[in-house]
Amino acid sequence: MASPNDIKRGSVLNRNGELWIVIEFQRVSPGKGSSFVRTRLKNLKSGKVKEENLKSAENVDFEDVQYKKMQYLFSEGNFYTFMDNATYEQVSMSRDDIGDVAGYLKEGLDVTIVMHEGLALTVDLPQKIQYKVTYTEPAVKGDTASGNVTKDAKLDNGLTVRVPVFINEGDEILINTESGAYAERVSK
Amino acid sequence: MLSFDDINHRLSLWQTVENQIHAFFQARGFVHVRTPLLVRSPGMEPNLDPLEVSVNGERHALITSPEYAMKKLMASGLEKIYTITPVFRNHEGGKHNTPEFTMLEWYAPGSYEDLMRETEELLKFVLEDKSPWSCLSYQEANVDSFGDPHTDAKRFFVTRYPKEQASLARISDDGSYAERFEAFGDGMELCNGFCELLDPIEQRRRFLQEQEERRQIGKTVFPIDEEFLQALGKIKGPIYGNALGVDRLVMLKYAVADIHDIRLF
Repeated sequence: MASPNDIKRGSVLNRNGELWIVIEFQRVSPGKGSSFVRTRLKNLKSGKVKEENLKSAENVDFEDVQYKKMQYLFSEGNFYTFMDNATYEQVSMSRDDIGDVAGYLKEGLDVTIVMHEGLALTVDLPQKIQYKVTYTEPAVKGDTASGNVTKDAKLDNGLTVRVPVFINEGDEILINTESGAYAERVSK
Repeated sequence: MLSFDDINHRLSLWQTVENQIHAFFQARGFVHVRTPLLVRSPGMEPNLDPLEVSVNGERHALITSPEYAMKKLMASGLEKIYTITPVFRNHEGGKHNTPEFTMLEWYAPGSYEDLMRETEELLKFVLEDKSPWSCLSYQEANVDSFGDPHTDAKRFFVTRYPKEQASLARISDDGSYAERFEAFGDGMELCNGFCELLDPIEQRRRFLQEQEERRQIGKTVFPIDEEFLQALGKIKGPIYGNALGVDRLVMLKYAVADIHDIRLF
C-alpha cells in the first residue's frame, strides 16, 4: 500500500487484480476540496486506456515491477526488438504491446522496459528525445513578425512535427514524448 | 539551457499575451498593482501546500494567490485593480502544473455575471478568437467530486457552484448557490471567479474551519490575517474578483500541451 502522491509515469498499479500502467499523471489541488492525482492508466492486458482520479488520502497498490534500461535495435514485421547492453539479453514486443511508442523509436534509442515476472510489459520513453530534421522548408523573411508561426519538419525517424520557423534542415531538436510536440532546439 | 532562438520564441509568446492583458485592463481603467510574495498568512485552503520560508527566524510563506493583498488595496479605496504575479504551490506537478506559476488577478465593483462577461471578453481578446464560450451550470457540466467537468464542450464556463464550495465567494441572495464560476479550455481549468464575500464575521468562521481542517490532516496552521479581515469590512460592495492562470492561457492560445514547453528556465 502506498500513496497516490508517489505515482510516477511508468508506475504499475494493481487495481482489483488488474495491472494498469500510469501513462500520464497530474497532481491537482482544486480551489476547494481535497487534493488528488489525475491519472491516465493503460491496462497491461487489454491495452484499454482510462482516466482515473485518485484522492491523495487513499491507498493504492503498486505492483512490483522491474525497470530495465535497454536500447532499441530494430523492427521486423509487427515486432520491435530491444537489447540490454550489459547482458546482451534481447526482448521483442508487438506493436500492440508498445502502442504509440512505436512512432518515436529510432535505432540506438535508450528506453526503459517495464518487466513483470520475467515478461516485458511495455516501453517507457525518455521524456524528451533528440531527432535530426531531415527536411523542412526554409523560413520566409517576415514570417517571424508575430506570434507562434510554425511549419512542418520531417525527422530522421520518419516523424513529422510542427516546429518554429527558425528551425533549419540539419538541426537537432528535442521532441516532448508526452505531448508529441516540439520542445526545443539542441544548442549548437 | 535553451538555445537563443527558443528563448526568443518562448519570450514572444509570453510577451504577446502579457501585452494583451495590460492593454485590455488599461483600456478599462484598471490600475496595475504589485503585491508581496512573502507573507505571514498565505492561503488557508486545506488542500493547498504553501512553500514555507523562515525570515529572521519567523515562519513565513510564499503566496498561493495575491488575494488578501488585493482586497486590502480595494479597502483603501482603489476601485479597479489588476496584477500579474508569480504564485507558489507545493506538490504540484504534471503537464498543467508547476510549483511556481503566473497568476493574473483582478478586482472591481460589480456582480459575478459582470465578471463572467468581462472574462469572456478578455479571453476572446487574448486568444484572438471570437467564438462564444458556452455557460453551463454545475449540474449541466457534470462536475465530479474532484472538480472536473464532464462535457463535450471545448471552451466553457461552469457557474452556480454548491454552497459547500463557496471558498471566498458570496452566497446568492436566495441561499441556493455560491456566486462563483470557473472557465475551462482544452481540458484545463483557467480561472476561478467570485462575487467576493465581504462579511468579516462569516470570513472568520470559514478561516477557523479551514484552520481546524488543516490541523486535523497534519498541515501547518497559519495565523489568520487580521488586517485582511478588518479590510474586508471597509470594502463597499459588491465587488468581483478573478484569478486566472497565465501559463495556461499562453498554452491555450498557442496550443502547447505541456506547461514545461513554455518556460524559459
